Amino acid sequence: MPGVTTHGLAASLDEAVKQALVDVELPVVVAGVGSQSRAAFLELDQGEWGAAVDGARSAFFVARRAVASWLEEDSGGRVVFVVSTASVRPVHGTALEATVGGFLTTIGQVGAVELSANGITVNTVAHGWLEGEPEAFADGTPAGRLGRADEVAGAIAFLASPAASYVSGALLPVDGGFWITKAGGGSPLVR
Amino acid sequence: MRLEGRVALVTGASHERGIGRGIALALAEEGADVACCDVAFEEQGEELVERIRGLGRSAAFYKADVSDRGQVDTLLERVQADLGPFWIVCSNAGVADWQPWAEITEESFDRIVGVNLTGAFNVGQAAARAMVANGNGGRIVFTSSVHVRMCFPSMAVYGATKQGVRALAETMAIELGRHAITVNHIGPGWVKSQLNDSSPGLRTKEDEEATLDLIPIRRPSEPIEQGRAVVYLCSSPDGDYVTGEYLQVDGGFVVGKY
Repeated sequence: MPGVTTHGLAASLDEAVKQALVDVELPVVVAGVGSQSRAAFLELDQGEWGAAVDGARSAFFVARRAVASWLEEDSGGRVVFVVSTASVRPVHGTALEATVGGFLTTIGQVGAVELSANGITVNTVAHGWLEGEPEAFADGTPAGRLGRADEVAGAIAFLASPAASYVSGALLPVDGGFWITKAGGGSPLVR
Repeated sequence: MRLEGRVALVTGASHERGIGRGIALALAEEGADVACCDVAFEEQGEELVERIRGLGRSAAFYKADVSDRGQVDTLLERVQADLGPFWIVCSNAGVADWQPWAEITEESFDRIVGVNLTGAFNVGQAAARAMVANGNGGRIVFTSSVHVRMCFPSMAVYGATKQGVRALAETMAIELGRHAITVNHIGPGWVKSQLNDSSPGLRTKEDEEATLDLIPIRRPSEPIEQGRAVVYLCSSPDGDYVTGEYLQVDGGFVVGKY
């Protein structure tokens, strides 16, 4: 039975994803990782590091368990990992989300290598600075504004749709162009 | 002698065929005193220390598990007490497993992430804090891998930890530049290290031949060649303006495979 499992997404994104994925034809797991901590690298504590790594661990195992059952049932399926654009282009104060995002991206890409022949695709969406983040990020983003949860959910919905049947191992930044350049302004995370 | 008067620490340094040993020896050959750390292979570690002393440098072996922050903090204090303030720290310790994606166990995941990723954070952050306190800048070099650029089936967790180290190194470079600390990572291709002994793709002579076909330079790398790349990144002034970078030392493996 097709169904959507979401894990580790911020509340607004989780809601938007569920709305965008009402008509899926294959089972889908959307698992995200990030960190609330924006501490400077030198000041990060062990607890913050451990929590971020645990988040990546649980995101992976939610997907891995689903994939094992899809293989058994030969159902095919879609995994979409959700990370922060900081994992593609780190800035001050993003050591945790950059690291766990990079981690999850590559674990997904290796999954794509191994699983695509079984009708299972694994892709990653790197979301940019979304509404709720410091407004100053808009200055650094070519689009000139913060992103909305539904804009990220739309990319996830594409990757879960029949239109994306040949897309596997992709990393799709949905970040208003942040990862390719810094449009202007300083990082609001600098301390 | 490009590193005379510098004190260096290398983790995962002991094994006679390991990349860490190549890094330790290359640094010593350029004049650095070297603290050699490993969680195992103590006898080989002591033998390495003797070789470095034979080059006229100071050296000592330290046993520590990089996945344990308390042990890392103690290690760094002891190294500085014994050899003086370090200027070069190479976070090299690493482990690997080969498991199909859908069968990866929590035990294997935790072991690889603990050493390769949390170990890199522990060593990198403790080293950076000490370097800032020393007030003299420094060099941090991680051993990442060609996995940063290319996926290898059955090695999802290993590859992911290396990508995590890439992102961590970039963030550190951004934040530590103002302290004159550079942070870079090297990407070894195929080294005949003990880490690869259990590789399912390298079991037979034929496997090795097939791997050589993927490498334009048609041989595995010697550990010392990885060390020489580290020496470049750690040299001053040569490496002063290089930070956040990835130096792939793979005989063309990645470009050859595409």
